[in-house]
Amino acid sequence: MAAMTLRHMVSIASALGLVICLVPLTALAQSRITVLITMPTPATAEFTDRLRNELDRASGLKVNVVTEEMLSADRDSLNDDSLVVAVGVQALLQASKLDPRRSVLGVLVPQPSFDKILVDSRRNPRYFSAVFLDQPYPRQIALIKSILPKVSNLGVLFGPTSLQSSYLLQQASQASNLTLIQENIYATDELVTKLRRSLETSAVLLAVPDPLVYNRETAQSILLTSYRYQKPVIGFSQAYVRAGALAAVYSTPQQIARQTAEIIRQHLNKPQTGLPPPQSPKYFSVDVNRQVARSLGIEISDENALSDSLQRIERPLP
Amino acid sequence: MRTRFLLACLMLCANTPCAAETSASKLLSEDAYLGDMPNVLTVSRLSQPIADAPSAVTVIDRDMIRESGIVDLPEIFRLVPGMYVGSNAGYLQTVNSVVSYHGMTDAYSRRMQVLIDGRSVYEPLYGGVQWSDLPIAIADIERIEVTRGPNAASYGANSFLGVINIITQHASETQGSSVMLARGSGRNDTFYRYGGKLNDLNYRITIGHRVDDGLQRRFDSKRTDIVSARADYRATDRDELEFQFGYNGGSRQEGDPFPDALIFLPRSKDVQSHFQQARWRHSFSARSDFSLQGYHSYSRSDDLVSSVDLVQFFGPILRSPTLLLDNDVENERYDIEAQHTFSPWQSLRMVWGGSMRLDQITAPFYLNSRDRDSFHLQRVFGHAEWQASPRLVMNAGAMFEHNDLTGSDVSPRASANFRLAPGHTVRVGISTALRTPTYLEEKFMGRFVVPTTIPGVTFIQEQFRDQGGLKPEQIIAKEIGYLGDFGSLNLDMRLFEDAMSNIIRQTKVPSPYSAPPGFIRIPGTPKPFTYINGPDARVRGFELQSQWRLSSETRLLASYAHVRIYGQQEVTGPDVAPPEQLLERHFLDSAPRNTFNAMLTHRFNPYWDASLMYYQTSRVAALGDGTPVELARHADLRIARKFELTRTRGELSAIAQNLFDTQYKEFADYNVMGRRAYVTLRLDF
Repeated sequence: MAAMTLRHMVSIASALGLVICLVPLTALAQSRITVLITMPTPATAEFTDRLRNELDRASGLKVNVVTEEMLSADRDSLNDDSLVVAVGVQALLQASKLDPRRSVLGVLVPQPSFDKILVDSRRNPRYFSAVFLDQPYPRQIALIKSILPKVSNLGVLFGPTSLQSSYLLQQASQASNLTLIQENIYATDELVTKLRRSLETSAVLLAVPDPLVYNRETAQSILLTSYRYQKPVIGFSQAYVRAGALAAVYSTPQQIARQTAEIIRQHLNKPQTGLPPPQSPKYFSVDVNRQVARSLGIEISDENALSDSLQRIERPLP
Repeated sequence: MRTRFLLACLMLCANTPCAAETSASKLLSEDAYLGDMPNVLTVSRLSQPIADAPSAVTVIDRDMIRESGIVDLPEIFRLVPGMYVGSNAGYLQTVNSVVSYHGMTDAYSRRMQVLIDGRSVYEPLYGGVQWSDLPIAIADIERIEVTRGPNAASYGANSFLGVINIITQHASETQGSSVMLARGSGRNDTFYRYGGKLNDLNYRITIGHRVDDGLQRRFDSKRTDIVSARADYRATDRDELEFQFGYNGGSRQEGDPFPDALIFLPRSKDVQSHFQQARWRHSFSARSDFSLQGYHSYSRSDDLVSSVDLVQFFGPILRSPTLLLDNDVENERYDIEAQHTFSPWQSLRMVWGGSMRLDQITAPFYLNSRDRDSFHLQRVFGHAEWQASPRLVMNAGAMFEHNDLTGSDVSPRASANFRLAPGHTVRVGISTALRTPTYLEEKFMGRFVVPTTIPGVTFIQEQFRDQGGLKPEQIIAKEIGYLGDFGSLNLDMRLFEDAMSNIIRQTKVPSPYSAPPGFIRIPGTPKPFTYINGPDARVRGFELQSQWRLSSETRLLASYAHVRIYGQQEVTGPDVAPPEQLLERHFLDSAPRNTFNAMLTHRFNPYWDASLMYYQTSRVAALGDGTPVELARHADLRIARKFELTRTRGELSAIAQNLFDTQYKEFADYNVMGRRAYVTLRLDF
């Protein structure tokens, strides 16, 4: 009850502030961080806990968690001018409907979804940014190069969503002298045929998230068929590695939280410049399925060594 | 850069009414990255790399099957070093392919275990497999793993000289419709397959009709209808259910076409077999899973055998001029097996489990009884693979088995794979197995009874009077193998010695022999056969298989085996017939001494590919119904063209077997192999 009253008071105060100065984003007003969560999952909890920890430890910033129910029951619960950290695609979609002058940072969102929401909501990119879940293609290529140094080509199945960023992968593979064997899939029933065609020629399959091509249901046939061809699959998540991909570079919610905390602190120091542009995950892990590696006869060094070497590639020592 | 692109988009959209409301369902959710996934390649699905495997293995994959141009499944085993494959058009349950490894070749593949998706198709009556009665379409096979050597610890009883493990495709890999046709020398095969999907359920059904006119101048044609179905249901991320059903039925000709035959004359019989199988796979984690499998299989052959007119031998005293034998055979099997595969830590992988089996057989002619005979088998097995160091992998396992016929036995095995350098492995292993006597060997009482009109006079010729009480055959196989990876060339070679004891041999019943009470032995007929645990034998030799990728489009597979069998001909003892009454042919020549085969495949472009096969088998004198056949050399050629039509992918191929028409013989001198030519067509849509 006391908390409600306090929040009410803050809301009123900030509403007043909005009306009076019409400059919404000031350091003072953003001393609070609102984390918007639409569906609580272990991942969102992991993210929030870590973010709270990071911010509290470093700058004493308090994190206010708002759920979708709270938002719909009481729109005032977001009606202050704190920075909104929207966790997940749904939350980002909700946040995109807030006051356009409010700063929104999307986290745990795939880049294609962020791009779509940004375009559709017509928000100002200065105040609408994100930390993506997607690993940059050069990093994934570097992983492939370090675990399978001999491969000269790379198979990829693009779906309607992932096709939008295909040119980035083409650039990244070209830069590493890998031939990209690309199949575009527009309907589910094309999957098996095109997958087989790709596996016949490519040395390794890089899985690129796409709702049509890579989902829970297709994981089975993709992994089984690739294994039958004795071709490794590079996944995009820890779960994919557990399911049977050879390896993946991915970021945990905690790693994203750490990066988010850094962005928030920087932003609060210089609020007038707006949010930094959307960015890829800075911290990441590498996971290897040792059983699969062994069965395919591939020798891979330790996961930590791998992620260290990827870090070094990206930030060469002076 | 990317931001600028987005800004441009944004500005474009701001000026046009394209900025529609985003619907969440079209967006890629974070669950793709953070959500759960089913455990697909669980620890039991992953096969050991060949360099770590405890025995010599030949893996035959779909491509190899396609490229080899085979028409019948057993033909593919010609590519396995040390394996003998022959077509046989015999006269009693022997119109069947002969597949044997390291000798003791007879009309049945008695000393090898054959599994399809974990279901044993080894038949208890004669032992071995009736290849053409299997409810399986070649197109549904994903791969075949042939273990060269005993492997009871992994595959159970009768995994004696080798194991053939056939694995069919997962239903998710056979989506859509396919038509497969084969036309040519005495063949007319038509198959259709449909694979569909309902949420988490993948299924397929394959139906087919096979017309096989058999060999020249033999009475061996077969008409077969096949239905096989498989469904894979992903119940949860951790549970998977698999159901299979199959049917094979039709008519089979068999019989002795020679003019002096008295019985087992050319005739046609009806056969049918079917099975149902279910498996539940539960994955506790990516490193531990459990499976429970049960199946029922049934096979029946209706065979009414008639003799020639016997009045010419007996005069007018016969109650009926011809003899009619009810030669129906019915086999039924129930089997349940549980297995737990886990990897407690990175370097250790273990499997253990147990199974129970019931075989029921009705065979009035052979068992001299209309009763159903039951055979129970229980087994417990365990196997561990330990990566002791980066250079050393140790495998050890054992099977404990109990059955109604021979009681309890243990078959252990152990091996060590030592990596000399990356890509170069030496394997040293010892493996044991048992072979339970078959019904033929233990309980056959085949007899011809000739009733007469004279009171109290009934003639008899006993063909078999099994004395029973046989011990299982035993094998201790030792080997030293080398696996080398030279980039484009892979070598797999080994020296082996199989020491077999208690070999079950056919002999005449000991003297003095007299007909059973109430019967009079037909004068001049031979004494009946029985089976005894005979001598020991040693099979020694060398095997090599190689794969050479000459270019990215050209591949040469070649294998060679040299096999020598050593042993004593004579068996002596108070209960044993004198040596001259043993079957004259000895097992010393029951394996070809040298076999060589090669398959060269080349892809000219994405559409055209061709393969050339060469097979050479030295003289072999098979046991039982076999007769010595001389050196056989033959070459096969296959040319195929792939094509694509709007939504259809297809392949048309032309196959010539025994290209130079060498008229070689297989298994027995009456199986003469001429040139055969086929055209096959496959359409996927």
